[in-house]
Amino acid sequence: MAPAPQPPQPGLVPFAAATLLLAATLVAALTAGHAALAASAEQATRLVRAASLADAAAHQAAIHQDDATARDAALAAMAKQQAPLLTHVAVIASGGADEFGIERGSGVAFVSQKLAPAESGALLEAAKSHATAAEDALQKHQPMDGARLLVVLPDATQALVQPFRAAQNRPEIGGAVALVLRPVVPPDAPWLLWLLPLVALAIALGARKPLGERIAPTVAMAVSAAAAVLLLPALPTAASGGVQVLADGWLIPHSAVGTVSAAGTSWVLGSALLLTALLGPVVPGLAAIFGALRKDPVPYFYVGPALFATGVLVFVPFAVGVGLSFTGPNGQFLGLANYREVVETAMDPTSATHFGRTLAMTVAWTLINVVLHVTIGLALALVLNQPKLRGRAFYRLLLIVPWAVPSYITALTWKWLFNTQYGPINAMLALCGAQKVDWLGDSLATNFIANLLTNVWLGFPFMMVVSLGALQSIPADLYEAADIDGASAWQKFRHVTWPLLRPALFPAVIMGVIWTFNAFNVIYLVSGGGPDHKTDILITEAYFAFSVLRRHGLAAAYSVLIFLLLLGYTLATQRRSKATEAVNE
Amino acid sequence: MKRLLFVAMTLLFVACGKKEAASTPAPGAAVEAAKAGEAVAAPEAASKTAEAAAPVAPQTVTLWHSYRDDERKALDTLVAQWNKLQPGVQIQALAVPFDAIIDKFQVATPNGNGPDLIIMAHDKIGLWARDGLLQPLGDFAAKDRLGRFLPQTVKPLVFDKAIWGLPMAFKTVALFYNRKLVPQPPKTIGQLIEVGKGFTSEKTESFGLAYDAADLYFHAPFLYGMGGKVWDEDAKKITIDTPEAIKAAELVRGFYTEAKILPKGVGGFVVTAMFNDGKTPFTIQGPWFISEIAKDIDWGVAVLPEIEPGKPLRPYLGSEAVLLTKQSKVRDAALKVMDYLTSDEAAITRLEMGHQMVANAKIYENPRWLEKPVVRVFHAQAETSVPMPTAVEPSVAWAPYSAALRKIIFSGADPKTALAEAQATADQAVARLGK
Repeated sequence: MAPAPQPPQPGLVPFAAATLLLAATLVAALTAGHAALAASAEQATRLVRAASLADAAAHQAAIHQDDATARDAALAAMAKQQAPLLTHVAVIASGGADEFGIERGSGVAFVSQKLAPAESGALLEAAKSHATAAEDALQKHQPMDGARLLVVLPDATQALVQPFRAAQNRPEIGGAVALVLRPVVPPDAPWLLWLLPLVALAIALGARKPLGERIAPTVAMAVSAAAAVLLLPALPTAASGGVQVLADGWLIPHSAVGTVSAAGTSWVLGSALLLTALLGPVVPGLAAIFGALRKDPVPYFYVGPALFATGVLVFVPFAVGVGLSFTGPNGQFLGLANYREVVETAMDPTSATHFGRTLAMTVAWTLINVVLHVTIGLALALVLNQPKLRGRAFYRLLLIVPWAVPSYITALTWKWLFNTQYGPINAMLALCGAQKVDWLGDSLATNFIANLLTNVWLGFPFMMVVSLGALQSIPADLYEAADIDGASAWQKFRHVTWPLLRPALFPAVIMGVIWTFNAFNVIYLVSGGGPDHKTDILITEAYFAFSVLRRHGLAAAYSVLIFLLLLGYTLATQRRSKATEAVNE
Repeated sequence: MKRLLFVAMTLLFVACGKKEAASTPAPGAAVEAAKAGEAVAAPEAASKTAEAAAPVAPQTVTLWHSYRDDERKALDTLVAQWNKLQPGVQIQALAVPFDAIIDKFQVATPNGNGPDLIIMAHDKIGLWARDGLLQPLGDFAAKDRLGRFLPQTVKPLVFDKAIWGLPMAFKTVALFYNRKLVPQPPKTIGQLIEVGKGFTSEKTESFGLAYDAADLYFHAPFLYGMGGKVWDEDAKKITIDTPEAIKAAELVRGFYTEAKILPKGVGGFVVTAMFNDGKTPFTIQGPWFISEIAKDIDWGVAVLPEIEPGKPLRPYLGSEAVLLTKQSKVRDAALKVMDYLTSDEAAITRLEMGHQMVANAKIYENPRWLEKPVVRVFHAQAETSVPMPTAVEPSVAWAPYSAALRKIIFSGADPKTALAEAQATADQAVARLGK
């Protein structure tokens, strides 16, 4: 192998551009996140102002026994306070549930006032979404001929709730729909913090010489990351990013809980943190690309579409996933709560899913599998590589079959082979006089073996094909030379075959580890993680969090943890594989 | 050459960009407009516009379902009939494979790309209603309209004090038996065990009764028959660890340990194969099983035997319903379609052509249908059935409950301990359940 040409040293300008680009991305992401939160807090404030107006109306509704009077009084009260931002106030009468448990009521038709001419687009949107949510709740009470009514209350203070209590005492009134809002205003970030990315840039440029091209940007990005972490408390942590909606249970039979959410805030933030953490070391490479781009842009246009597609199909979903891992069921920002929950299962022995146990199982599963895949694959490759063997092509084809069949079909077939009563494996055991084994029953060992056998069946052909390819590229004269020197078969393998096989096998093993680490199909379809989640690996546990617990954030946290583990593993092995390559050169 | 390629690439980019620019705004704008209209207009005004617009341009009601074969043929026939007679409202039916329809619906509907109506088993209602994918029927589901259905098929469609769909058909399990091996089906569990014992043989690997005993769905007849339940709707609590559940699990364990009529760890296609190979005279299955029975088997179906006289087994009932989605912009037309598909007339087509166990009560008053043993038996079985829970929480109980059943029945675990463990696991999962 020819030594790789030394990459040209990028100049100062591309280097600065690359660092600046990253710093700018970071600042933009954080600013966007903060702005979104601030905007929703603004909305909240306005909604609460509107709510106090509506409260006046609600009050009137409660103190006047007669609905028409109440309506007029409410209208008057709202008019007096001007700018009636809220359109509807509802008091609903319920006729109780029928024999099916469906609530049948007779509603009190009520105030309907045109929305004020778009005072603020954002506020209107927010009010509308609340109105829709409330209408849904109201729809269950039948019939509602007039306009739907909606009451928005500021903080859940007794003074404001009291009128509704009164309303509830009236026999014909079954309840009220209320939205209790509390604004959460994000404190302003100390503006100096926003300068930190610039400081990072300065470090990146200034420390280039003393710290070296590779380390300086990492240090710079670490400063940026510190900035991001310092900025974190400046962002509100309340539910739904800006507006917290509290619904009072006793007050409302059907509480319409709507939220004004700063959509995407958390993932913007998550991506910013991720960018910071991951992209620091990228700066030199990016600088090199910028340098080359200045010299000859054409190749970059060729890779452009592929890069774009990868970005859309891989990086964007990935960033969304990372962002999701910081969020709760309603998209609210939870910080590291999901991660904490994953890790905390490791400290609770009664927990059904147990992070420590699952991680240990995943590692054991991966190690045992890959060792078996390589051993069996290599052994078969050595056999198939014998020139004297007749029908080699046929055997080779036969041995690749497990690989060619879709893995879920294989997994389901093996599940049947392991059937306790009628499975062929138990039938063979019975022929040998052995007891029937309840493979997929309550024993961890048999479940694990069943998974393992299935995955070994699926995994060895790949290793065999890779080994076979590498074996065939070993020149025959090396063996001749070894024969002349009187080497034994083992010595030939140890000193000729193995050293030449290793560089080809190494990347295959790295890939094999990653595949096996995430071998969802086999675990899910064969043992199903049983018994009691004991054979679950991380990816099947992530699926459990997603499908059974319906916690997308929690599942995303699992995925990020898996990613980080595999990233660490890949980085570690990359060093080693470079080392082995160097040995061979 | 390089330069030329460069120019070509640039052109390609520009062309792509233009295409996007030209195509995107149109649907976006339409959606915006629709949204604005929907939110601002008062409901009665909205329905008026819908009525006024009807004669001008035909409204389209999209309907998703996962029917296949005969059921699909029946539905397609009904749709074609409607479309011919109702030029104002056209049904657009889309068959989505069963394993894809739930995901597809859950992804498409929040973005407004879903259907107006979807046909689905009722146990998804709680989840979808809570996630805001469905809208309640409200006034439309008046008492007289609901009166045409079997009450057991309507009750499960109620969630959070509102009704979310109209029932099309129901599914429950009954006792299938091999006529050649057993001329008369057993009336009680005692008889079942007695007959079953005669068929159980180590040598031929035959068993008196084959069913997936370690699956909560198939265990439900025994659990509910003993008076137990998985989910307490009033207390909103999972109830696995109860004396009734212990009794039910012990009863089934007796099949394995004492009577030895039950094979270990069979389910799904293994049960089908056993029945078709004559290795078992009895199995507990639903109407879907009929199409899996081999042609040469002379089979019969009977109501599940009683635990003791007057104490029937109570299997789960799934009510397959047509549901109205939240995103539907043609509520009135969609409701009309829903009414049509669940009408007594349509039910006849679905029963005759689609072999569905339809939810319409009137059908079962007609001796013409009751003469058919399958119809008669499943209708009778529906009488003792209990609807599967509609709420979301009990869904987490399935896996731990089934695991506990396997331990109790086949591995000799103490029922009390195993069920208490399952209860703890399920409670924990409920606490961790996302909104």
